[in-house]
Amino acid sequence: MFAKRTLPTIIAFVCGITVVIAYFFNIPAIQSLAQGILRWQAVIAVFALGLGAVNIIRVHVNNIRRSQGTNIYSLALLITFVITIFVGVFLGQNSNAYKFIFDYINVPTGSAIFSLLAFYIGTAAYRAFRAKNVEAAILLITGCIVMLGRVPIGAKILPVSVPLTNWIMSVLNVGGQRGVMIAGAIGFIAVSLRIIVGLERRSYGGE
Amino acid sequence: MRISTEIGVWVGALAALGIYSVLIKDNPFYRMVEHIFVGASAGIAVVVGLNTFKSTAWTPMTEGNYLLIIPMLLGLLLYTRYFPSAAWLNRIPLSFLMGTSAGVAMRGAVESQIVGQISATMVNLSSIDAWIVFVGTVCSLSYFFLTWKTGKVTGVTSKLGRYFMMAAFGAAFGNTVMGRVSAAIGRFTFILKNWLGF
Repeated sequence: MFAKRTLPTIIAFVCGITVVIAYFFNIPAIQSLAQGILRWQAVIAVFALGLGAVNIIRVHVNNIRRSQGTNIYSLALLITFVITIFVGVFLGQNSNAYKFIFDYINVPTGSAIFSLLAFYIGTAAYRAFRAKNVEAAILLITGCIVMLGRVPIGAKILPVSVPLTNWIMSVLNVGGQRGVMIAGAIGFIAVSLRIIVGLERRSYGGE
Repeated sequence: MRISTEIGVWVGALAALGIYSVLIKDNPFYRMVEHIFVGASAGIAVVVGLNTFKSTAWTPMTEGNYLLIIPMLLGLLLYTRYFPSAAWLNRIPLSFLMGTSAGVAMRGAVESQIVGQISATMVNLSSIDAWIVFVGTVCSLSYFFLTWKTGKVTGVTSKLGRYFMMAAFGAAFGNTVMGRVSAAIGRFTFILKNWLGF
């Protein structure tokens, strides 16, 4: 019971509180302890990354096994995964093969996926930007002005959109975002404290 | 029109076309490109992770910092989740990760999101804009006061706060749209100029 429930809580508490104290108080012993903890955390995090890799392999090997070898997508994923690791580890990150994978597969595909939202956001905008009340009207107006002010053609259609966009971004946006950020940070601190004092044991697999 | 003869450009252009093909409907071309992307991205993450492991743990350990064996053993305990009888052991490294991350996140939140934001708001209120930012911050904060029932004054400030937040969300939306559109233009330029040679 101690090792299963209490020990993880003690570890989380000691690590969390040490890192926090080291930030707020200038105590050399605590600060060097916190540095050690952060270094250990980086090492453990690498193993956690490996856990993700193992999970990817397990899921896609199972997919292939279940489909009796007809799941070409999972097969393609595993082949690309293995080739990338092989190239990165044995040929190095500066090799042409690794650069090819990064520059011509990872970057263009990632960028295309990122930009897909430009198409879907149109329908989202149609739903969100209906001026049913004052709040929705403000959302609609500021959104439209910023979109116009961010492109050269916007300045041609509505010249005032550029200075107005700058004003919205540096004044209205800052006022609204700051409140959200401060309130969010207070909530974030509350959750972090709950984890440190052991009230959120589920986050590390406890009950 | 002068189509590129570079294999990398072909791969990049076909990958982008594969992704955009989902705009018509889900299809095998899109799913293949998507899976290849996931495989390559996961592979790159593993390679970066291995290099990090080498520089932060393996090399220092071989140079005499034997204490680093402890986090390595803790890291290995994460894999006990695959063995039901020993699965509880992975709570130990997880609690280490969660506790430390919570501490780091907490001090980051205090530094940049509370102290930083409040001190940026407490500037010399000598212009109308500075006043608007100040009022916007206070009003949008008052919207999140949920400890007591909204009264006459707090009702007005929280309503005003909601308006400020809507303006901020609208601005964020507009910015996001333009960011994505700009990325799409970049991809189309790549396809038309670099690949097809227009």
